[in-house]
Amino acid sequence: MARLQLKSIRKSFDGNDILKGISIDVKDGEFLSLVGESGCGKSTLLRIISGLEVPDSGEILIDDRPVTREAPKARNIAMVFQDYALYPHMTVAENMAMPLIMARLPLHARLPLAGRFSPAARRARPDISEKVRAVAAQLRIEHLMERRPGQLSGGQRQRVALGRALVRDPGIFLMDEPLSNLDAKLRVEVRKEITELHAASGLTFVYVTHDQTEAMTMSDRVALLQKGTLLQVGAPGQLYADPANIEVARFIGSPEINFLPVEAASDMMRLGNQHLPLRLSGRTGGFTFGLRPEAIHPAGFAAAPASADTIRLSFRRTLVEDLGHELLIHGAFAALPETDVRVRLQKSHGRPLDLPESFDTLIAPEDLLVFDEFGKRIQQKPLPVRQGVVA
Amino acid sequence: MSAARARAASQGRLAYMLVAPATLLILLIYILPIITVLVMSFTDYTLVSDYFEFIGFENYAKMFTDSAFLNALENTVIYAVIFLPAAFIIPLVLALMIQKRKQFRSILEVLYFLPVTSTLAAMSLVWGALMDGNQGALNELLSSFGAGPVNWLGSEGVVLISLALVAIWSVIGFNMVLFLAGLTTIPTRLYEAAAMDGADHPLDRFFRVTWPMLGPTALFVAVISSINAFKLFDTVAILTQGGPDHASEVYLYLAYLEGFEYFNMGYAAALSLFFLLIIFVFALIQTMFADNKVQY
Repeated sequence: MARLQLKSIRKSFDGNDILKGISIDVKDGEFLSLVGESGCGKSTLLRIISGLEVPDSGEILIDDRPVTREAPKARNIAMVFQDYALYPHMTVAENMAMPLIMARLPLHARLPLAGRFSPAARRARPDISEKVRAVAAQLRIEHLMERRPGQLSGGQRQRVALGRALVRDPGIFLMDEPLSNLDAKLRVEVRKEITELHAASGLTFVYVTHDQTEAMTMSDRVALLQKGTLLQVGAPGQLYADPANIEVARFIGSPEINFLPVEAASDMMRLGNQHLPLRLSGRTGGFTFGLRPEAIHPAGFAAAPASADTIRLSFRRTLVEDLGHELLIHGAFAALPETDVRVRLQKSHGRPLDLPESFDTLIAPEDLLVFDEFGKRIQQKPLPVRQGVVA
Repeated sequence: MSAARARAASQGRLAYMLVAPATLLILLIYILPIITVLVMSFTDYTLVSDYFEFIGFENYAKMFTDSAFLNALENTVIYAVIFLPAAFIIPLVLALMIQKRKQFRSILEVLYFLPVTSTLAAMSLVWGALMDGNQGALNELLSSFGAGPVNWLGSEGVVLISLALVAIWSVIGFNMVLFLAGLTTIPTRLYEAAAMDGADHPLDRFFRVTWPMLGPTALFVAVISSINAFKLFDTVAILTQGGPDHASEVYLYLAYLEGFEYFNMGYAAALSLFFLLIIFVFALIQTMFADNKVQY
């Protein structure tokens, strides 16, 4: 159990700035995900936490102790690599015993031949194999102990890698896309196991992934990185409902959020060729609306939003994807035919729906996220403009 | 049905026709000479007589009582014992050191590889001059350190070491490149995992990761070098002609002497075939281990 603090971490390779000043405070026992597209710097950040890379500037504190330049073994951390990095020439038991052998045996006892005759080795070995057995039991891989990694399936290797990391009782557990080499079904299973492992162990987890679903389902908090900068850190629900900027809104949520360009005047807004009875208090000009696919309600097919001021927009569909429990409808608003819009529609009791080519949709103004021309979120909701009244 | 069978048959004929040239060449170049040598090894054929008789296994039986052969075998084994450890360990250490260099790696690689590209027969003459007992540069060097002159090629106790030195010099670059190739196949991830596991001491890195992962390469280098040791011939032919007093008469040189100096072609053929058997055993060891044990 440990607290991890990152203070304005910077790193560049060959003149490319990979990390441009990242500061995150990870609480003791917290599950934090580092999310972002490939090349955003999340893996580099993890390697810096692990000690495999040294930052150009910035500081890393573990339990308030600066460890920025310390070797990985001095940081009380463990890491699971994306490709597991198991030692192919060792059995599962030997793989898992490796960290303990390194920590508990003196150098002379670790050397080949000489180690055989070392009394220190003889004393420590039973404890080591006992510990390895206990962790293997916890991960249900006792029956694999004598196999080599080459004889294991992807899921089994994954567990051995977890085991090798767990045996040393680390304070912080680092994982670099540990599920990316597993098939979809196994991924869901192992996802649950890792969440349970986190709950049971109470360890601090830092988890790198490019898959927002993984990050959202497993984490206490998600840190979203883009091109070396930290866009936002927050609970999964917060990132979804309250994104700091357009990039966060775009990355979080599947299917992707819809963006609608609007022109705001003092008493109304223009969306394409249609006027909306909405305004922003004290602001005019070009803005972007972010609108989640489930916030667009096809009139007559879904319950109308519980809002006094719903706006009505005509929608023209092009493609409907039936996911069984819901429909994903692609199309565009009649007012803005060139902007693709996705609509999610829950099917009641899985009944087939007969959607016409065009239908009206209802939108609650409270569901609209407003972004300025720089993509920054404006923390106010559009206000309804009631007939003839400008409040 | 029969039309299909006829087409299959004609296809079969075509296939045989297509492989015929290659088959013929292999027969002519490899199989036939070996069979000739095999037949010859059962005769008392000499180059100076047109008549010969089949004498069964007599040539083979003679080998194990022939003091010249036993001497040659002993010399070869002694030479191999001197040559092999150095030809294995020096390139391995060099490869480990060069691998980490960023700037000079390619220059060093080329430098160490240069002897491999030269003709050993020609370089033997250079080594002969260097190792000359009277004005050789090596003795000049030694005397500048106050060490006495060494009779490199003329002393029975030293000559095999001198020959091994030349061979080691010529083979270091080649084995080093093999080791370098083996080292590049070890994923850096493993060293990172080792660092996370606390194995960041150079000795731990070597014994826990590098050496086991280098297994297949090491085996290959060991086998190739063993075969090389047994194939020692050209430096002996040029520098010592088996001397002094048969002290550097090694296996292949003896076979050459028997065949082309003493004209005992039958006996030389038997020696050659037995040599082939030894090499075959080495190759067998390599394929057996490479396939089963060392690879992952």
